[in-house]
Amino acid sequence: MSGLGNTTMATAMTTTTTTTTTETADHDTVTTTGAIARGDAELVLLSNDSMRARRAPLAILWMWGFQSLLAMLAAWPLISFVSQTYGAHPRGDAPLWRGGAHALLDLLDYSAPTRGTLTPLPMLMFAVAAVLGLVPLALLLGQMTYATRSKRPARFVQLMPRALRAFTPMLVLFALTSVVELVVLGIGFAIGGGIASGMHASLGEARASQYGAIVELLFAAVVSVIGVWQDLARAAIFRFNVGAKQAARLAWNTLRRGPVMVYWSWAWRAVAMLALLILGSVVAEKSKSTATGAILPLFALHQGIIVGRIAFRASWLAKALRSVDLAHRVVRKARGSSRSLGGGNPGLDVPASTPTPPTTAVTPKPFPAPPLT
Amino acid sequence: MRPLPLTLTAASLALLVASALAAVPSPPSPGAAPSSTAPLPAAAQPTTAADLPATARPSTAPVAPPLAPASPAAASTAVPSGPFPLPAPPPSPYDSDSSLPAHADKVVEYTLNAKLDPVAHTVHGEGTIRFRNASSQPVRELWMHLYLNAFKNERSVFLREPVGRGSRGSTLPTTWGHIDVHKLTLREGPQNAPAELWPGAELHRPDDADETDARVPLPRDVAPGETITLDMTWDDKLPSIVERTGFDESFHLVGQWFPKLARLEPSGKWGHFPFHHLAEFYADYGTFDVTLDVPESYILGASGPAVEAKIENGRRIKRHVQGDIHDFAWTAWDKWQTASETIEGVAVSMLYPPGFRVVALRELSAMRFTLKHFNTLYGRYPYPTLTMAHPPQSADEAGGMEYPTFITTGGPWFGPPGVFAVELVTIHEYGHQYFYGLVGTDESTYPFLDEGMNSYATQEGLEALRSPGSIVDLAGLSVSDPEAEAVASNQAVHNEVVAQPAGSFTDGADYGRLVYARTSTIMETMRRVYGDEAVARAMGRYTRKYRFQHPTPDDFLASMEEALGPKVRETIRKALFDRGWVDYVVTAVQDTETADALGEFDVNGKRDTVTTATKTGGHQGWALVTRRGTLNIPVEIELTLEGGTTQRTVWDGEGDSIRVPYTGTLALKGAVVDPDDKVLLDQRRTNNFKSVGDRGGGAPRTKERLLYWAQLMMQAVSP
Ligand SMILES: [Zn+2]
Repeated sequence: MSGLGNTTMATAMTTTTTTTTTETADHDTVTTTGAIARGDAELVLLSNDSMRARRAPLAILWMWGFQSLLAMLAAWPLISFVSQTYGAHPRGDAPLWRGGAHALLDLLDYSAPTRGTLTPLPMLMFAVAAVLGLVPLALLLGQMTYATRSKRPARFVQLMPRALRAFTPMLVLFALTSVVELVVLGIGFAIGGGIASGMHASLGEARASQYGAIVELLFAAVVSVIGVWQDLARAAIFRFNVGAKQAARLAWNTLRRGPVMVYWSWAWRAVAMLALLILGSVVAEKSKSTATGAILPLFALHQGIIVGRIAFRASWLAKALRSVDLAHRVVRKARGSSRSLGGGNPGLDVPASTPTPPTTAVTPKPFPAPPLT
Repeated sequence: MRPLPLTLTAASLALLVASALAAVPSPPSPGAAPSSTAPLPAAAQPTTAADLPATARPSTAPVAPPLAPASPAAASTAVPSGPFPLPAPPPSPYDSDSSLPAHADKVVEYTLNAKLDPVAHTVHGEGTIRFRNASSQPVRELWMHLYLNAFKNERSVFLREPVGRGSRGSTLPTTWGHIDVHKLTLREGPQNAPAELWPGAELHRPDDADETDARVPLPRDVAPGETITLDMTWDDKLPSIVERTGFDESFHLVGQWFPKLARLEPSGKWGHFPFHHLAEFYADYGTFDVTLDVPESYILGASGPAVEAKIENGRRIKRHVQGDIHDFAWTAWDKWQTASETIEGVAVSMLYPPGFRVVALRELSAMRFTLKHFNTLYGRYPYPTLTMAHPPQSADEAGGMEYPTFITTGGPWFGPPGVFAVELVTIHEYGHQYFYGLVGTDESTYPFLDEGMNSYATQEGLEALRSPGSIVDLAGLSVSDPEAEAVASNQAVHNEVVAQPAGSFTDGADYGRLVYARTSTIMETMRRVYGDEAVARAMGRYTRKYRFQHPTPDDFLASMEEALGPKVRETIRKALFDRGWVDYVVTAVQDTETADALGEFDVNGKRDTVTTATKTGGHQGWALVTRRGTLNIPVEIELTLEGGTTQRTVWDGEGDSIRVPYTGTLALKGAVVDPDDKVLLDQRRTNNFKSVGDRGGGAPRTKERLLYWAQLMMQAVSP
């Protein structure tokens, strides 16, 4: 990384590190790596090993609440449409779930003239979720990065200023990566489609489309790597209190140092989230009864799955926080006594003024529970 | 031809739903509603309008007969109750295959040679036609169909008809196609000398440039019963595939490729017509003896069995001979993969592109079921072979087409699993071996007789193969083909008449929704209402009686009347010819607690005055069901009582409305007309129910699932 970058970062650190909070033995660490700002006065940075999803139950619930609220609003037009029609059926909506789907298709056809009024609110809610979803995400990251001085999970009001400060860099990252991801996907589909259509004469249609699909999957994998990188950058924003540009560099360094380990950490959790989704589908498919007695347990299971998926996401973000932090530490160790970053090897994305290796960062003993992951 | 517009409508609708449900929908449960058997309360005896409270007194609506409780099983699981009874028809010789004719009356005999140049995409043809005047009148001219000329230029009827929307073959060929006849000689000319006919032929009418329907004047009359011989040579230039015929790189589907005599009706009138965009074919039965000559590396598939095969000078030469058919088509491709199997004594050959083995096996599997099933329903398949060709996706427009003993299927190499379009197209094209092949109706004038009846046969077959979910059974969403097609058909019912010539349809989408979907929905409704057995008997008699014949709509309706009675015939006729429709509506439901009557009563010579209404612990009420539209179809009405128990009665559908009375100890909660979705012709289902005070069962499952799906989607779009 360039010396200019480090200078910029150091400046940022200086301007934001106006208030420091000390924590027993390692106040230096807290001061310099954490950059606790005025509004966060009561918060301290957690040590590497303590950044765990289990530390953020409240943030997980906030995210569940946020998603549920938007989901309810999004589903509302359809729910009210169905309630106004089949709600008055003596058997309720049971005919809509009957094999053959006659009532369902008829209702879809019946809804055609009003479909225009059914879709705007859900679309709006999905758009809102895509942008404002950064706030609960920031709260989640915040709660996994900081704790109160008494080593309790940070509260909503304590984290809010931090989350709001992180919003802009996160939004910038989100916008840029979304564009890049779309472009990569577009290129992948163009190449995949090109292989499928251009090589069908020589390979046969089936083979050509299979090769095309493999290429598309490879590009999708690249997109997932970009997603992983973005999450690492988000983690860096919180761990090092940096802007989007520095965070992007820190994330890149982290990914470069252990690409397989980092990607695997994301991938197995993604598979677990998918497994939860499939579990929810299978159970729903098996549960044929429409009686309230059967629907309540299903509702509970589905909500458990929603929360579980958020927990896996949180677990991955915690891992991202640890990885970003660890990468920093590895760098520190590798550089041995050469502590002066300003004039040293510019390949490092760590705050220039870090006086202490983060290995000795705050280690809040009262949180001994094993990590969720 | 495959029901593409419809399949698209139904399947895309289904896929739309499936994708909207994001892989998590829950399953349909026939009759999952909690209901238990209610012994019919004593009070559910016949009631009359006078028994009802004044406010509930019907105006003109007749009153239903006593509520017949559904059978305990029916009441507890809400399975469909039995069919509406019809008087059993007298036995018919066509109830079994014993009266099936072994052969058609041979009117034509084609002996043809065809040589393919797969690089230039041309076919050089020569051969003879022997033709017998099977009509009652002398013949003074011949009509020959030169349907490849439909792809010659934009002046053809096919390419200029503005019915593209929603129909197949709406693109222009990238390479034009045509057929040039060079010679047509009548061997038995005047003074027994050969006479050249082609110079005198009229390729098109003076005011119309279409060259698909040629008139060939004869130099002399051909008497009834007389046979003539025509020698001919011609050259085809195949078009890039637009629909049903043509080439795509080295793939060739060769249909409508030879000068083909139109059908001569018994009246002496020729059943001839230009190649309309939406229309298909019509011809006399006879024998085809066709020798095909292609490069050795090409694999052939064709109508009828190969009786000779040899390789000569780098050419593959195969002679196919088949009697009792009315058309001949073939395919040649150097990439065909092959599979074969004997099913029900028929040698079934499957041709498919490399990498398509999975779908090819699915098609063979569907044929294992369908050959047997249709043998039982519509009479034994009489030919020794059936060739199925699954064209590559790049030649998709060659797919979904029927020729005698030779059909094309279609679809992507992967299926996909859970969507049964491959099975649908297989069953449909094979079904045409009956509705087109063996029952040789005029496809151009009455497309509902082939495409419509065959769509019904397809639905019935799919449903027999797997139900519910005969067209989609994916991620918990099960869609039945007849139910999806019914919704599509109801959209178009008021637009056009079903039973009209293909060329008269003003809109391709209507053609699909009416000819295919409406006809099949009419017959499927009859099957659900009057029962499998009754309708299978009616259809079986019709297909057996008219095997190797050319029945008209009147013949079809007469068959229906004979087996199902005049009322059913009239329903079918109205639906086909008069845009017949019906919409059953539960207009009102009422329930009141029974109480002693107020007033003065003379009892045993004493007058008592009752001033306080004492509740007697019972309930009485009624459901008013009205019928809109022009069709009268028997329908079930279900009353739901407190606790979920149900009682059913059947209304014969006569009159404009009916009031179903209720008296019992349990409160009446609501009413549903056609609770088992039997009357698929019912225009709208959202008015088929009503609950007392509009307090129905709510939408708990929909709420739960929609919220969950919305949450999942929120997670998907959240950063
Ligand atoms: Zn068809």
